[in-house]
Amino acid sequence: MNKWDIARRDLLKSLGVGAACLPLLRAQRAVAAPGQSKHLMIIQMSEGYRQGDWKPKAGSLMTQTLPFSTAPFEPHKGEMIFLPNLTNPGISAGGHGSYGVIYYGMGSQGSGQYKEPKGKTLDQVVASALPKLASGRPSLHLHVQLELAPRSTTSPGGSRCFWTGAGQPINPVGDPYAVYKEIFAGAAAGNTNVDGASVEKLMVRRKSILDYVGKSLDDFKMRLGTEDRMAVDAHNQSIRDLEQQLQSAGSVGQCGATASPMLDLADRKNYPEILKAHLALMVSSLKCGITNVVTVQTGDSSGNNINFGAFVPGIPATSKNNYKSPYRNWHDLGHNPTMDGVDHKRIVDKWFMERYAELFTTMKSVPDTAGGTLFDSTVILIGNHMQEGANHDAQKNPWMIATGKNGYFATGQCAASDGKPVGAVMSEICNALGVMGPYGQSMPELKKA
Amino acid sequence: MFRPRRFILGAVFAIGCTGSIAGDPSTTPPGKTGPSPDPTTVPGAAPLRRLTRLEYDNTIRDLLGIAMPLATNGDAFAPDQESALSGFVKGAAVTGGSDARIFMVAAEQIGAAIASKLPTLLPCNPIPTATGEQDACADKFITTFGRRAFRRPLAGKEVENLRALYKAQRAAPSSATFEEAIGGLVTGILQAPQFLYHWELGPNAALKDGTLVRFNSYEVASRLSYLFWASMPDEKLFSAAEANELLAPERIAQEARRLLGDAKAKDGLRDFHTQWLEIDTLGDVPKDDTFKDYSPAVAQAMLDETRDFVASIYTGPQATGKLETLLASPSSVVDASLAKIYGAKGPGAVMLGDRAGIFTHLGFLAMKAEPDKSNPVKRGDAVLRRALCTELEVPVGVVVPPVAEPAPGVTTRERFTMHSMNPCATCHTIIDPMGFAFERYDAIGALRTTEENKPIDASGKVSLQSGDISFKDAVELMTKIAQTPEARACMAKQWLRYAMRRRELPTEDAALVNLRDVFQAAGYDLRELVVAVTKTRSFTHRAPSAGEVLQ
Repeated sequence: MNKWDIARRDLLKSLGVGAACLPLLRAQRAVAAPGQSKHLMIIQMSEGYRQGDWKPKAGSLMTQTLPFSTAPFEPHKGEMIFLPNLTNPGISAGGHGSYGVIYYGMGSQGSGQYKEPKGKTLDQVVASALPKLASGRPSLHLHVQLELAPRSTTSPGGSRCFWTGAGQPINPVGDPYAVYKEIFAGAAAGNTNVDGASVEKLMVRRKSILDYVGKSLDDFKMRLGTEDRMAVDAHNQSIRDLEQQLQSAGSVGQCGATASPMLDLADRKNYPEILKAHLALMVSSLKCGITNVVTVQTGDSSGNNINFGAFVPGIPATSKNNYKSPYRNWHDLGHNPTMDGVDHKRIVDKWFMERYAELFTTMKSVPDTAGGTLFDSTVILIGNHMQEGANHDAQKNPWMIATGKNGYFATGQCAASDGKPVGAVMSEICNALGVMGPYGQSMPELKKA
Repeated sequence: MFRPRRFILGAVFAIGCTGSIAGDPSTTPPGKTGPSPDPTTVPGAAPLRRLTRLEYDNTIRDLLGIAMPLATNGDAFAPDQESALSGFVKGAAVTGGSDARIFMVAAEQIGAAIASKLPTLLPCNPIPTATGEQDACADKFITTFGRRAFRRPLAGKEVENLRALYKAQRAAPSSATFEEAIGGLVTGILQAPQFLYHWELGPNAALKDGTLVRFNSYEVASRLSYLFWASMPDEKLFSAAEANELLAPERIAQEARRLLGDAKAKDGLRDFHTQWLEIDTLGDVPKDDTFKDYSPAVAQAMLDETRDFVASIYTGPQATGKLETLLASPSSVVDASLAKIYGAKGPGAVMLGDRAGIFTHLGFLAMKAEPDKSNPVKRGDAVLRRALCTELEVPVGVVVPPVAEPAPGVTTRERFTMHSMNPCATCHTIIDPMGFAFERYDAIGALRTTEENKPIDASGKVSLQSGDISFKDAVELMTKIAQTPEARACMAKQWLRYAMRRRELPTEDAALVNLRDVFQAAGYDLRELVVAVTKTRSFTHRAPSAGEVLQ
């Protein structure tokens, strides 16, 4: 245990809570109508897919065999919707520049290459509409090695795709071990291995300090303009969330959560382990009522920093092109999918689908409190911000939805979504979650008749 | 393929000024301001920005006298992000509990670290033992330390809030000792927005100047210190602010010169130049294993070279201050590892006959290259954007085809020349010749005379508004660029952007014209340019933000 950790039992003791409180936390989760989804999970991919190996034929999935890279979804295809060629209207950006606005769907702002949304993205539309949880985590945002060099840009729109509002990008967390400690191991980021009384003292002091910070933010913003006030409001909300997180730390217990390993986050070989730990954390967080919205960014707008050769079988460790980095990275795969006669991009596409198929299987094994499984009660959106790395087309986005077949969506289809806007899909996701979306569009064909 | 957005350079100074803002004698302090060098400049609103990681660490150092690089070391603090399309960064937005947690943990670590330093921080020595005296000491600490941490005097309510925090810490159930409660105050102050954000207006009414707001003396003090030191004001600046002296451009310039001459200016100068050259992440950039002379430590040495080279131009008895030196000097100071790559006799001061200024230094060349090869597009694009302020952007809907794969017998120039003959030629015929000039330097910046057994051809011609430049290599190119009006104007624009952390507006042309004139009159002395930046209305004024209520 790190010397800054607080032993979970001490924290629980200091808070005067224990396992008996767990049902109370869970009781505050959303009460959903029958068949209504309760959770949203977004997995952000990059550099598109090799379309010929990804896209099924339009129509029922049940009467066809999925192509090469999506073949791992065969056991789940009855609970999936493929959405090829979705547009992202009004963004005036190419495949990289659209990364920051892919879950906004209502245009963009900013004159730079990397666009930014004018308001909150889908995750926050949903998170702010669903009932608040005791955990202080309206949403949980993770990333896999996003910050390793070479980063494509310092522009927020190039590495942030979830936003609480205009100019307010969400900084995802990259260390699954740290997040696991905070949520499930009772580590309230305190200092030293101290006794319960000291922990209690620390918690009380923190509370008074954070109260002071919150008050200061309230006063501070009064002198600012509208946009800056929004930034300070977001800061203030982060303080409130932290307070709640600290208060609830440890009270949820381990809840059967899969413990996250301590990993070297800078070691590119650890990408699969980090992704696996993040996906497990996301599942645990939904299962245990920590949050209703989880996201993971598997790369930034270019993915120059990922070395697929370090962990995907069949991919060489280095690129012949040395495009953007010495690795067989995502951007390199996008522009140069084939090397020495082998299509590496489709192999990488498939590698990810295998991970997500495993995720679906896991979620199907987790019972949901309201009956069914976690998979049934969750809308899983696997998004991408360009059609294919080779064309960087930001107006033909390939998305996938997975969720229980007894819910809102008419699953088991490859939708005739060519030219339909991403906003229409996000509208339907909001509908599935019982949330009023701002998109003003719809795709009734996605809804079960 | 790139589309030229503003390839014709130099037009910036030709644009007429728009609008004229008359001072409002009822709100401008009489006799304090002095004449503005660019009275017709109408600046934009100042973006609220949080301390960058460097600024956070430097401010902690100067505020508390401790070196704890919590923000710049490790990955805890989110990376800085570009501020308002300026090409320079601000601290990342705080939008989630995990962000707030980072500041809390850092503040707690700092609070714990200063426990042994309290006697030097407290205004009472020895530390009193009686509760009443302790409370009085805490009161004094709040106003004195608070003034330094918030970079201006505290409002009455701010004092009350901190006093309440102190009392809450002392009372049950916290029952903190005096020392612990002071630590709690510090921990709270370091998480407060007044510390974390650049917005030092404080309790004072905004100084209206026509339709604009003039930064008050405390705000100017911070703008100066963060511009030159990437840190908080020192006591001399605070004193000048307290005397309300920092409204007059000449007095501001006087302080600017003092700050520029201080050893701490090395930080601000390094920050500007590493951001300007886009080399601040060089230490993380991977290179091919075949480069045995390259390692993270060598990359750091390259950054150190840039820092020391820049410092030698701006500060010290030997400093020339000249733009020409920055862009075309063959001299540098290097350690043994860099001397080896340069092929120079070192360590120490060296004359590099095959180099001309900072764009031919190893740091820039290694950053703007592939892991194993040079990259003319990266180098040419960076020189165009950062040295000449010419920006090109990929048009929407255009697919950028890859450069031809390396092949035996084919040089980088030949590969990229093929690239510029495809439909992307429109812009690559602009970018690539600039980049080809640097072909004599490999992926880590080492000199080479051949590639694929063919002699390197680094010659070419680029067209600027001021005329064509023909060159045989980067030395000749950069030597000539250093003399162009485009490079001189661009340097002024980049410093102004860095100071404002936003893009200039068309209504700020008067400021740029003023900077051009001052720069020219000073024989293109960068020190005079930066000082002149601090006198412009873009530095001393701002437009009210939309929705801002001026009190």
